[in-house]
Amino acid sequence: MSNLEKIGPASYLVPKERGMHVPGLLIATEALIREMEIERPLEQVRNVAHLQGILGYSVAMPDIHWGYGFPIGGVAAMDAKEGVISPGGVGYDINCGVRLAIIPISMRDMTDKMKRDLLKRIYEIVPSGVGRGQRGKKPLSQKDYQVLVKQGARWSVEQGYGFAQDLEHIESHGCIKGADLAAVSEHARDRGKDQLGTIGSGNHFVEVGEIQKIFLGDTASAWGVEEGLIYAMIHSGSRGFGHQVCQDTLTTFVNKGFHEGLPDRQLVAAPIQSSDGKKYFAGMAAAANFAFNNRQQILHEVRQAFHDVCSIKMEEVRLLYDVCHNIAKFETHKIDGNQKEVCVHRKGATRAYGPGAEELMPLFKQTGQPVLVPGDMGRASYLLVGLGNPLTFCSSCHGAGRARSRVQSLKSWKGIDLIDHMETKGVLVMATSNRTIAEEMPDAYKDVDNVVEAVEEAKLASRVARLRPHLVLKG
Amino acid sequence: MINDSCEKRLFFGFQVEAPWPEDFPSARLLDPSHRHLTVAFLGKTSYQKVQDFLERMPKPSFLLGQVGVFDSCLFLPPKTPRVVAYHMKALGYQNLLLNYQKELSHFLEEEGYHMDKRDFLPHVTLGRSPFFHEKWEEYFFPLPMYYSSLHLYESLGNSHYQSLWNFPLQPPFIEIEHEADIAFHIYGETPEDIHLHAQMALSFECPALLKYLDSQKLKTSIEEIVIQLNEMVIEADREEGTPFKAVSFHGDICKKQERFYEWEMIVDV
Repeated sequence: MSNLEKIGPASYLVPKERGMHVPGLLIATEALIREMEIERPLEQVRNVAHLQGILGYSVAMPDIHWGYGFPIGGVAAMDAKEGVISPGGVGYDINCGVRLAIIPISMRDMTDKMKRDLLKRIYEIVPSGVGRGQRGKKPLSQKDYQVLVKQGARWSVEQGYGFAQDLEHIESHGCIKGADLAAVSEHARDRGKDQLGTIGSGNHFVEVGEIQKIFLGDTASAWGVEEGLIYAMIHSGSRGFGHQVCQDTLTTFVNKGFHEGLPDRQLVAAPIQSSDGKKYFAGMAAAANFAFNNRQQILHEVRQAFHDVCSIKMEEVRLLYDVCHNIAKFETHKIDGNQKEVCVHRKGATRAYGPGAEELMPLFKQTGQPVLVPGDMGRASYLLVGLGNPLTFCSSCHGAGRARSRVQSLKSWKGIDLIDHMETKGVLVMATSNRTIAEEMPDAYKDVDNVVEAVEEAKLASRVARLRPHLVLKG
Repeated sequence: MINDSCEKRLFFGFQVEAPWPEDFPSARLLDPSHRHLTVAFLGKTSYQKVQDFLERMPKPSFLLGQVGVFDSCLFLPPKTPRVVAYHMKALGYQNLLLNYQKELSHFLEEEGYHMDKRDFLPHVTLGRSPFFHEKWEEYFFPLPMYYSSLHLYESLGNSHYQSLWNFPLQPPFIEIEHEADIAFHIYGETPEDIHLHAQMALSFECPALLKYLDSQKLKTSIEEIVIQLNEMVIEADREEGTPFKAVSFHGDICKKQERFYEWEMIVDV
């Protein structure tokens, strides 16, 4: 198995080779490794280990697949003083992430008509798909931008999108410190000006389903998660605003030759403490805060849909948590017995703090933080609780990971009415593009059950609940 | 089974690839697999005679399929239109097709065929009457295209054609498997071709990008090419939206088989 050495449950060492500062660590079961295309992503795990200042391991999650420079499902912690920061370690969709809200009614109480009406209403008020911005809303002004990149999700709450208590239920309280609008180009601001509250295209979605099975009763109960209740899950990021911040930085870094000496141009990176490194972090943080606002406003729209169709008060749609899975953050971790400040790059990986972590609000400090793992639109998603495993810098997986290329999916579902097909499986789907549905069919993804099994075996996070989708809005 | 001795309605044409829409206005539409770009019409003739000269007839001087854009809708013949067609404007090497058409026509005349003396009008027939001009004109939007292999086609009637022989050309790009994103192998006889063909590959996925395509200031280094491709994506995204986040700085241009340059282009979606 590609020179992998088993060092623990669902944990494999990728031995250090020439040029690597640290070894790699792959979290996966033997069965998952057998079924995945592993060579190219593993090469990326090794490449990441060449970056200046990397500490511990170049980590790969069980949903790993080939990405841009870093593998998707990759984690790397860089020494905050001596290390580098790499846009490829964050990705184009800065602070792409997931949020989960719990609705205090049972799926059993929803008639078929209500389900259809609810999905239709969500489709009407949550703009989705290529090029869909907000219509009828005032575009963001420079003044709006100035405040929202500094305040994060609080800005949307102050504009009437949500409630103050939402903020405690968002990673980093919905605000990455250090954002500076001056580090963001006019192009980026222009692209993002009407995109708050929109999901975009690709694998982004709004999903409504039922909490199907509880694994950890105490934790679920503490979080107000009960079998049979309805949930709403939102997956989106920083839209054109974040893409542009990433692109502008990559162009600058490549033009300055920062990729020279690296095994892959896409790993291009700048020292964290250099002016270029600091500028990227300030722009990235601005984009991350844009993304928190985006998900905050999408949740507001979903709350509105529940209110309109199910007569549920908006504040009763309770945000459980919001996680980032494309981000670089300054955190303190114990490395070789010493507490060290590091810049953790999570690219397709989720923070999974265990009990006691400083940043968490009291409830989650007691239980560990919620970790959200969307699977696919047919089978399941998962709600986990973080265990704060130091080997992965308190990180876990971010999804099921693709098993099939988009081209394969399109070919295999050609000529089939996908909406009808999904309905026979008990899932109502709406999307602006049939192509997106074909690319996102359940068999395009690994079985999320197997992925979370690996995460649990490796003691990164534990299962709290299995979630089953009923209604899906795709981009 | 092909009967070599009989006469057939034959012509030479290039196979055409384009991101054809599924919902054209009404007409007796040609199946997409039968859409082609005619270069020389032979009429009813002996198949044996044609077979005898296939080997020595002039072949295209180019190794790769050429790219172009369907830039207008045509109704042919103009006075009493029976077919609706899209006009093809070449991008890149403008005269290659015209020169080849002339060369082939000259050869066929020497073989005793009567060739049409009117100016060559590169087009692809999409449908036959009845159709409404206004609906087609209103519907039209530019589409990227490329033509690949040269074929000897037999016309079977009812807009059905059969290829009896072909001279293959390398497509300018091929979409390849990629787990999370979309990816292409881009081919070119020069690094500039790589840049043009990469723009075309993106336009095939999202025809709205054609508006931002630059076929004049073509770059040769991968860094410059990626930067321009992303400028194109950004412009299109700002104006009308694209399914792409960005073209990645992945890979390098390399020379394959001593004939073509090649680049593996990965597009984050």
